[in-house]
Amino acid sequence: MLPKKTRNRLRIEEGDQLSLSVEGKRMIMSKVDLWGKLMGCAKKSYDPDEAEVELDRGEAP
Amino acid sequence: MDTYAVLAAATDSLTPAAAAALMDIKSGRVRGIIHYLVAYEVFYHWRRGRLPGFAAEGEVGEYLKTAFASLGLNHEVAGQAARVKAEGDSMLEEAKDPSLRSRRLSSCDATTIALGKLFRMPILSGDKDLIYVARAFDLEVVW
Repeated sequence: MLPKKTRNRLRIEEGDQLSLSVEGKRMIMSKVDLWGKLMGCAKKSYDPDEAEVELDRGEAP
Repeated sequence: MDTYAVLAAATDSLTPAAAAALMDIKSGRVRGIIHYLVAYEVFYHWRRGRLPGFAAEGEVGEYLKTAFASLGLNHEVAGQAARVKAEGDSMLEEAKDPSLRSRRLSSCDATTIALGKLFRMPILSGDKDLIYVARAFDLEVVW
């Protein structure tokens, strides 16, 4: 269990993934925010409906 | 969960209900389930530059692997999906909404609906043709 102070400082939320690595004699725990990489990464840059239709059309006989 | 939800999350166009459902999946309160074809479509959209937050294909795979459970496909699912595709496309052709009449279910959509039917699971999607057919099959769609 990580202390609340640490979680708040690193903005670690329920469901976030953490990775563990070793550097020399140090053990480093880092937040892996794959959800954060997805959410809003292409903000309003395309219409999901058009992207879906592109794949549907690709399958049309 | 359908591919559409991933694209909507990327473009910041989730509805409040869909955003809440995704947060439930993220937190582990709800188990999010995908299948092979959803993963295929997500990888495809990443290759088309629609998910720029992921720097590499490996990150896309890691996201899918850690965020969702994946259901395997078999002949039973294939048979059910083929039925959904055949009946669903006919439903779309005759839809009252003219914008739906030219739309058809993808193999991915048909498989998602088939799994929803087989396991009585709600579907998270904003894809109009998928929603129309899923609801015709009495499935709950969250959007």
